[in-house]
Amino acid sequence: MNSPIVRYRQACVYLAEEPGQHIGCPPVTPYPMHVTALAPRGIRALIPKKSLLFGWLLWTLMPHGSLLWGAPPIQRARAQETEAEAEPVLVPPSLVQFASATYPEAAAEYGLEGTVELELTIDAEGRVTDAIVVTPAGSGFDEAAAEAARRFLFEPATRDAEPIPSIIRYRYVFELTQEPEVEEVEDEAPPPGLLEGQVLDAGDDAPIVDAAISVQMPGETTQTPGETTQMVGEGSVAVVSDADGRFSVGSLAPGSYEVRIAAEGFEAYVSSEEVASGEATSIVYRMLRSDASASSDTFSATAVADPPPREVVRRSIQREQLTRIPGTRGDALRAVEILPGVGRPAFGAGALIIRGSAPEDSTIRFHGVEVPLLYHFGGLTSFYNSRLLEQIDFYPGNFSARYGRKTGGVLEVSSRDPASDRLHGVIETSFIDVSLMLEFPITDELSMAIAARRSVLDFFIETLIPDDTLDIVTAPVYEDYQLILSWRPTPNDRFRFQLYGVRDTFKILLSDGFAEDDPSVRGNANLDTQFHFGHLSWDHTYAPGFEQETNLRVGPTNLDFGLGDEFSFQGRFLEITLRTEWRARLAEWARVIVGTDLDITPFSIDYVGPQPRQIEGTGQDEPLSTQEQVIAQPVDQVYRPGFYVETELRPVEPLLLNLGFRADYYSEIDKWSFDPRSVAVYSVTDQTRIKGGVGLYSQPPEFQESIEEIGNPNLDPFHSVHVGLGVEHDFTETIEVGVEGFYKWLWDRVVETENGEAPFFRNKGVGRIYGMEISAQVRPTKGFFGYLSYTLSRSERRDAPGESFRPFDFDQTHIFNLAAVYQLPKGWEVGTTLRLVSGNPDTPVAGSSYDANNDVYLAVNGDINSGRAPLFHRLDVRIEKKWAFDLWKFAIFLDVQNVYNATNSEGTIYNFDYTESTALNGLPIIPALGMRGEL
Amino acid sequence: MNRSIGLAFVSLSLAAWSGCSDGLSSGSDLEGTRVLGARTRIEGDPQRAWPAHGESVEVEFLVLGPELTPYEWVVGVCPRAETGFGIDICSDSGLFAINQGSVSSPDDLPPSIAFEVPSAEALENAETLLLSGTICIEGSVSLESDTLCQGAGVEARAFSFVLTVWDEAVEPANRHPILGAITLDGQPWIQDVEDKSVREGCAGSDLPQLEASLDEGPKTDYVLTLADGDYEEPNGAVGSREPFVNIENDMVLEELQVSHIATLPDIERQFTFIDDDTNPLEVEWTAPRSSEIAPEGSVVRVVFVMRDLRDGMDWATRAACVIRTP
Repeated sequence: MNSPIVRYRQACVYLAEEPGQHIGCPPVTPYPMHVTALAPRGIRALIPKKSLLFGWLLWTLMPHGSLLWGAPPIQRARAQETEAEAEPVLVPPSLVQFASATYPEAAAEYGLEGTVELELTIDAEGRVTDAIVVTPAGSGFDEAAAEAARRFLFEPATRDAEPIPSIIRYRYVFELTQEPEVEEVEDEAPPPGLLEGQVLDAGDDAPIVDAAISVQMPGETTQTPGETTQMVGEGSVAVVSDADGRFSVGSLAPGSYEVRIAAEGFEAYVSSEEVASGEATSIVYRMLRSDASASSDTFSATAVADPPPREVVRRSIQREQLTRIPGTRGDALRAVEILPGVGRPAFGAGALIIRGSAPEDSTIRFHGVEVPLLYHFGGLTSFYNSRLLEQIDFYPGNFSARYGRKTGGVLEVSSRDPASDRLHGVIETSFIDVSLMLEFPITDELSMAIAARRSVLDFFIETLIPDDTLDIVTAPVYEDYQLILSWRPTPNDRFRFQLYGVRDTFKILLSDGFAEDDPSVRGNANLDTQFHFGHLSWDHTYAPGFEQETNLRVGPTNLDFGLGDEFSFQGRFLEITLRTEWRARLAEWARVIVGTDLDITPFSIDYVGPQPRQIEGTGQDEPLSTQEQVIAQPVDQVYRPGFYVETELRPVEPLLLNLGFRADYYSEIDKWSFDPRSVAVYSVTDQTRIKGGVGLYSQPPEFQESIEEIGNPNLDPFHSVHVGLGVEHDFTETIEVGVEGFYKWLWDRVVETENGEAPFFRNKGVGRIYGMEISAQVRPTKGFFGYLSYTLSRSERRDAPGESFRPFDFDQTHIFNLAAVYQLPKGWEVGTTLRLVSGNPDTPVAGSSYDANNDVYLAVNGDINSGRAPLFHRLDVRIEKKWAFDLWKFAIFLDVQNVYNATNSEGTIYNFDYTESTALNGLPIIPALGMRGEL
Repeated sequence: MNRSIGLAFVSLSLAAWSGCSDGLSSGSDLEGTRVLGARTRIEGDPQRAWPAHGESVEVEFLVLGPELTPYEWVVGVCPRAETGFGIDICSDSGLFAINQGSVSSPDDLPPSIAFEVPSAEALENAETLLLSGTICIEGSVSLESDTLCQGAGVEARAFSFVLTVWDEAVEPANRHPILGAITLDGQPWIQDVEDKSVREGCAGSDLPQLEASLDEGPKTDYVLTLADGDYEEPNGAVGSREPFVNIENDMVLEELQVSHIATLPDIERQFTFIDDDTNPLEVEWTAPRSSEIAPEGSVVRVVFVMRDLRDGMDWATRAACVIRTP
């Protein structure tokens, strides 16, 4: 049966301030448009001076005088910039409320179709004040289209962000389509899925109209008649985006699809997406402009797919947002600090504190495989180039059985495929570090990215630290590198080889008496941390709905840390991780994931120092000089195989049940753990979801806790049960609000023996963590995005039966974060982040005792963590200005941490005998000025 | 452990960077009465630091202040319990000797305790003894009360000293280090005051006369040096630094930790180590401003305490007179 479906399409857009200024319909013009003739002369007059300034900066700060690789001479860049800078930015109106036209009955009866081109006059408030038929279609289409268009509501056009009236052309397309016939689906065949999305301009998030989207299928697919799709070859479907940049491809068999997007004025983009049976995969693509007038980031054309929620809480922030959060210096992994449930370590030192769990209890995964360190030097910069990241997922609790051996939370990081269209490059420098990244295709199926970064702190550090206290032997330097090779030999296979590594080095010579409370703190203090990994991934689709993902990672991790003669740690670890996962759709309502991950770590450790203590809750630090040295030199091999299975069941349409089970073996203690986990998601409406979960989580003791010489190899793994309940609601397509409550009970925690005597550690500790999180997110729209999160929680520990619960070392009752970023005209962007966090607990000093052997005092602890530092508050601001030229782009940014130089207490410091104390102040205002060039 | 190490290092760096101890009193300034060291004296072999089972030993504690402040003291000795961290404690067998006294005049003896080291059986094979005590400044000791120090405004200062019981079969005995020559701005410095309560009126005395810093402009520094002494029979020692086998089973020489503490500020640091690279040690003392000095001169006393960090100790005090600048 034919049923009339009205479709509309915006055919072309151009701007005019007065009717009649335009003649005809020009080719589709990407915006923001730069109308040179309207540029104020006064602004133009300033531009040469600016160009000289920035040219000089580039020339002097770059080692070889040029920012670019094969770039045109800088003089040419100046000329381009001169033109671009002088132009006002005109932004066309965008449709925010569409009105459907009535399909003329007679036309429908006779099977007529038509296209009506209209000229719409839109006032400064976005209302359509006039709709004139420019190209009539007759048969009642013209009147219907004009009537409907007068009911449109637009976001008005702007010039330099000021609303202005405008005239656009709009084309209504009336099409008759065949209503989909309902076919009986065989019981064995899984129901099809839907791939839908929106194509946006990465520069300002404006929708891209008429973008061509090609969906390449690995196997057969069914195609519903009546959609605006066109078969372009065997196994391919093509659609075009509508006026909102949206598109939809229905009736896709479950599986992996290659999505190619092309739009005039934008760089082509290729992505791989997963479509699940009976579910909609919704994607936002942000496209890079290919012309010189654009102001967008080169590498913001990253697709981020949000699959159906499987966890009680899973938070994903798109990469291009993460790199723009103030206070992070553009480091995507640092942006997780603003998420609800994430605590704040002292000095922002990089420890990941998730829902009141110790940093050691959470894991950072890179493509499913744990990485040893997230940050350089405990917090300055993360280990991986943010511009090569695809996505960051954060699971603060109730995470999947796919993740094991941890009881806290999971931060999952994945890298993206290198660009396959042409050469791209980015160089960025600030007072902290300088980085370089290149990506390029090698063949049609093979592309490559390489990146490297080095800190430049060593050029400044000697002026910051007084000469009379430290003799810097090796200034602090951190380095990291990444290489990605991506190869798609067939539509069903993707191989990816990655090489990445990190090295941090720092060596200083501490003068005698450097620390008044501890004479042992002297001599050489050195830190040398490095890891280097080769990581091979293979994704294979056996059939629609049946896939395998395999990761093999091998590499050494070396840790060297020394402090005079009192402390020395040298660890050599060869980390071998093999992780394989199979995902299969068994039925319309059932999907299963089966996987195994195996960690094998031959290691050798050479440790001389004090007896290691429990991870937290030990009160005031004890001088090294008073502690007896112990020695441990184990050479051994640890292997930890893990097995997991997870099912996604949908017994009724709105309910998704996720049942998982995980088994892990820990060779170092010769123990197993078995963890059942479950999550339920109930979709009350399309906008509202209720989610709950309960699960068991287990974790082996830390290395030092189970090494025989200094630990207890007879320990058990410790456990935690997670209970979570939350609700999410999408108020609009861009605003999402969520509330989650959580409770965690910990038992068999590893705690030290009473006086640190053998067996040193035992499983006698328990803990409880409970709280709630409120989060609100404004997704990018009209150049704005923002986050708001608040966490109210309590995290407590009890170290021995009969004792009272005490606050955890990083128990933070209130955590409030607000981040907002706004794009302004002319390539400006401003953002701010506000953080209010309860001060960390502190252990008061009840007295002290003089140690005559070493001439130092030892503190007598009061009740552990019974004090608390004052509220922490900090405001960060980031300002960025971008310029775009023919072949490259340039940005300069200022990222200021602690703008108003708040004096925050990070703890208490005492004089030599603990009779006086003062606050240990946190970091002052830190401005970081940087610049970035993009090819 | 990985992250803990990283964080510890960062904290260390930040502490250095932020100059975190500004505004707090320094251990190198002797602003109040406090314990500064402990030294064993074994009957018949006073230079040996470790007593053996059955030997009689006296342990004397060095207690000094900028002026003589009356105090009472108590000290006891017991087998030390093996602990991995924290303040040392007695084993279950408890104290086997205790002594107490008071100091109110220059003639009174400082805290000390004499005892005979019990047999290994009596010590339940404890390898170390714990001497712990308290001085009650401007107060009295009460062993019967839960609060050891009694009196209004009393200030209690606890102290401890761990003493190794020598087992000849295990290793050679450790001997006390020996303080060598002390100089003040290159001149031998041997003077001290007899009456420790005297703080002013030293101008023209036999003490070295040091001009105070001018009230304006840069301060005046004086260089103090201290050399390691020397054993007559080295037995492998360099100076008074003895060889011993460390925890890594390497034969190494002791490094001598010297604390230098003054009754008038400022000494640039509290600790200096005498080792292969440093002998004698050199440390600067910065004279106070002239206006801070008594008209008839102010006495500055500097205490040098040398430790071999194996229970061996030696100490000396020196005095000089700081006079106002003309």
